[in-house]
Amino acid sequence: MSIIKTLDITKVYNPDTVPVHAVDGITLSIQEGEFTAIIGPSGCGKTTLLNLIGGLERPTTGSVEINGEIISSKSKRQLTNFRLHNIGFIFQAYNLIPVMSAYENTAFIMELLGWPREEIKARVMELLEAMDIADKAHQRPNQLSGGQQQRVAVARALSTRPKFILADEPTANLDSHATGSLLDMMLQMNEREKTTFIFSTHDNRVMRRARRLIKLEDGKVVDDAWK
Amino acid sequence: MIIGYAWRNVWRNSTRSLAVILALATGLLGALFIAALANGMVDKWIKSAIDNELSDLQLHPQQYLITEDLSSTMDQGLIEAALQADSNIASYSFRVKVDAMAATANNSLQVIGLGVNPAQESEVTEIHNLIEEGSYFKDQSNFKSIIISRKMANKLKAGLGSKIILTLADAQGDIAYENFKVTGIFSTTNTMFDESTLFVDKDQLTKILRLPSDQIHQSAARVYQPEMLATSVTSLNQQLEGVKAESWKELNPALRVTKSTMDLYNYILVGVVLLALIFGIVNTMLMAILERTKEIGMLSALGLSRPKIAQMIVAETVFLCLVGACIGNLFSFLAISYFGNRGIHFERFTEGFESYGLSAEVFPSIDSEMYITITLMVMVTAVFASIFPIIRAFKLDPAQAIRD
Repeated sequence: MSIIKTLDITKVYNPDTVPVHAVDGITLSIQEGEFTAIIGPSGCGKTTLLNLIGGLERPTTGSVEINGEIISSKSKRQLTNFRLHNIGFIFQAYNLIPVMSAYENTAFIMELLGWPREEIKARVMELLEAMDIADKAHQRPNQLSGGQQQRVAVARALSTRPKFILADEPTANLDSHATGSLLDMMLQMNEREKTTFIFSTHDNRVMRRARRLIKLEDGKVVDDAWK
Repeated sequence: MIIGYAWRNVWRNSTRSLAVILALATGLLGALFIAALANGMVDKWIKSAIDNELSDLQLHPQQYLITEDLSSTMDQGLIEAALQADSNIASYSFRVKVDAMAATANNSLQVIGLGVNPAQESEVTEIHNLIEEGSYFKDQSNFKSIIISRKMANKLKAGLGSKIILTLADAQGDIAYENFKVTGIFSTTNTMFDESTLFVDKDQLTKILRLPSDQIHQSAARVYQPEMLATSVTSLNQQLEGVKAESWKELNPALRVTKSTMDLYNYILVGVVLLALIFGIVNTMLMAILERTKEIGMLSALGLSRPKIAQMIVAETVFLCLVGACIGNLFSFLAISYFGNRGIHFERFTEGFESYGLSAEVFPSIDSEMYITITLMVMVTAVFASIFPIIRAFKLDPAQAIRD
């Protein structure tokens, strides 16, 4: 079943001055449970495509459909609410809240959604254990290694069981050991919770583990291969 | 959660937050202390006016208030009965009053002569406690006693034991005069009162004025419960025909107006301080938002709605200001309590203060509700100060913020 569909989307920055075609007519369909990597050289439009799918930016033309809902026509407020309920984000720079512990960072979105305290506690501990950082639950980001911080970010993204997770260069700042174990954990969650993962990456280690590789060049899909 | 998050955000850059907190605390301390000083001055002014001149209420014949005709008097017995019937009246005294010329061998002065019953008068005014030299009608010699102030004594070039001749028009309009001996010299903090008022025995002055012994011009009274003063005044006015009872607020409207104006002035003073501080608070919050551009963008990407972002910024600003307000209030309370007990003596300005009827020794004081009102004012200021940072945060594009 198709969870994400993009229909001939384009994204042009500075249309009135020096137009930059970051995404140029991409039509894609991503199925539930996929573990997909969007690859390509720097500046090819990977992050922009993820932002368009995640509703962080609007396409200049075309439409983005998530679970049958066209999100590209939603208002800012509706998009924020949509992201909260449907999408998990993992960022290259982890982007954890520095004044909160690993536990609180993981619980953040559940708290926003008003989950009951006991349910939050159970889910956070389940995720932190799955990520092998349960013993770091009460440590703040600055007390964690890069790999541990990214595991907290993954736990936060997974916390509310979103329909899919968008991960923008999640391993860019990690060493090979941390990357390996992080990917193992994400694959495990992908299999266990059937969560769809979409990465933007130029990390070979991620490409090797992804089941589908969508290659971009100059804002266009030049290859779409299943392994 | 947002509230807890906001609280922690306040302490992210503790140096910067402490600078704002201390600025706010210092501003409030300054404003509150000045307000307390002004309040203390006015309170002392009112207290000394009540204690030394006005008492809580006074009764006069209505006609006397219009014409100041000495023959317009009221019956002492009727007044006494009405005052005794009011359970709020703690003490009272009866007076006869006359405009006179006081003269010594060296000088003369136009004065107001009050004929008082010393025992009764001691219950309604504090003049007997303000005697600096001599005594308050305790002289046993055959001379008629007169009590004057130090300032009047200086003007008349008189001292203890000096003779003073009072010349006046009696109730029939005839000129009369009498010799008195200065047996007591007092001093209040009100120059005008001191330079114009002297005290003699009521029975003696009644005789000089050729008034019946049971007739008076004025009665002063003190009450047990000042908050019930208006009720007593109304009740006395209803009972006594041809007599006007007035509280100190009516007897000296300037005192009442000054008191209420001072309250307003105090709030304006604090308001101006807060207005000046609001720019510093806005600047601090803007810096805090700019430093966290990426984080706020990330929060927005994760689904933190605009109202929640606004709630977070308002809470941060309110916390920042509230801590400042609490510290400012605490130090103000300590300073006002300390100096409120010890008093501050503006020795160099004594003459100037007293020429306005004010004491140069000020006991700063402030109503406890002022602290609550000011805390609320600070919170309102914080909400206003957060508007600009909120607008700034709303303008952030999450994708751009994360990319940056």
